[in-house]
Amino acid sequence: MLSAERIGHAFGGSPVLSEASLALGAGEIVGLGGMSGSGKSTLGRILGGHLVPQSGRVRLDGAPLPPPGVGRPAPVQYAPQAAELAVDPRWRIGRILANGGTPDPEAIAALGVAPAWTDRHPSELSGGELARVSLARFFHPGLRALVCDEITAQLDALEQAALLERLTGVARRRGLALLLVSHSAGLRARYCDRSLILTEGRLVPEAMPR
Amino acid sequence: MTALDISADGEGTVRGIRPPLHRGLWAACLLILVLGGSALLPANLLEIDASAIGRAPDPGHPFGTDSLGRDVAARTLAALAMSVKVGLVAATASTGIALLLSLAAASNRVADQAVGVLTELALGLPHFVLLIMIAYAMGGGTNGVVVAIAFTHWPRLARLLRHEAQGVAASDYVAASQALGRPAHWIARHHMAPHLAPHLIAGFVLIFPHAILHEAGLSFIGLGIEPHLPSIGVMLAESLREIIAGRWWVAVAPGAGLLLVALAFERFGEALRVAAEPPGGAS
Repeated sequence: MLSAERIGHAFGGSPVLSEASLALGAGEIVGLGGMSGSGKSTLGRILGGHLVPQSGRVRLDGAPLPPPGVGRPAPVQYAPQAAELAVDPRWRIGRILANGGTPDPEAIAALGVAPAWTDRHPSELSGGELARVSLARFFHPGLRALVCDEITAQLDALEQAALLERLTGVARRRGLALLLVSHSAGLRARYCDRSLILTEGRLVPEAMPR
Repeated sequence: MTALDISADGEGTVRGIRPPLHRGLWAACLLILVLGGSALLPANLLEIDASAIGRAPDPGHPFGTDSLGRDVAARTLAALAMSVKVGLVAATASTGIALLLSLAAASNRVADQAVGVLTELALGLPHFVLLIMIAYAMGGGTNGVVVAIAFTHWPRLARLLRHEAQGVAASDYVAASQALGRPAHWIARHHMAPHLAPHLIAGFVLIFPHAILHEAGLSFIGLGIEPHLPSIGVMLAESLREIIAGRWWVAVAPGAGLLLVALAFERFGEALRVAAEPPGGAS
């Protein structure tokens, strides 16, 4: 279980998160909504270890998460918003996929990453293709939880549906905890077991439409 | 072809500028011609010849002779070789300063602030005035020129490298690599170096023609290379008097030679700068 306890964070004196708490069980798919600037990405970065919270703590099965850059891929990963900025433009796709070690063939196949892309540069893929590559590299064998930050915001409706079907499918099969950050209430209702809304720095449950 | 021409090549990529290999070959040929030519030059061609003073171009002296009877073509070749050597040393030193400062800036926040202020300060000072001041303080001469050029040409490259390094360090892909377990030295080698190296090479090639032009400028006003050595600046300064005496040819070869070498490397550097962008455009 991934848990965030009373997370607080401020940028330049203005608080973004204050006492935000959440718990994600294995295999659970949870949506995260909220206004622009409400701190969704900040919370995602904190959960993924990109950012150290100023107060509160993140735990996985009760133990603190290892710091990034210690030789092993972190068990909780954060997939940033714009895939084209989240991959090194000078690297080829094959190298990007193998960044966390040997790429997981099941996730690569499930996300629809084509072997023909291996020798291409990111600029030679479409936005949807790159979003799948950007996600697939995080599926290392030790992955327990994945935070996806608006990963479908730049895709059209068909591509959104295709990517989220594949992603939620592979997450359920592997028993991953998945936090889907999205502005779209419809998308959260369709793909998530439950949803949270970030408002005034805190997380509150969202009433799910029936 | 100008930078504004857009043409599509075979692979469907759009490029506004010729590939650097083409221009690099031109620049390399010119370099070999100048350095090889001056090395093979018979010494007597550079000597004063009282029997051949002020001759107009003829088959024996294709660019004529000066007021001391020296062959202008031979002297231009020797002067260009001198300029190229001074330019290479000065541009290497300048690029080295830029690299050291940008690495220092990347290492910690205080150093970054200090390098930022120093760079803006150096950019704010009038370029040529600073060049003259340093050359004068060094007492002129070849060493003075090298030091003056080295200490005045680093700021633009340092600012570019610092900016690039900051962008890469703050990027999502570096954060992703860290989360995937990659330590700092790995990130420096696999993300930072591949982004900075092309800029460093292009920066060096772009500083080189400036160094040559400024060497000529300093020599022209008497603060550069010693007057008895062949130097484009000294030749151009002397040619002012010669032109008044009607000997226009004394200025043609050094002027054209300087222009040719500077332009070849400027264009090569510009092509390299464009090629330094990652595949698919700027990051």
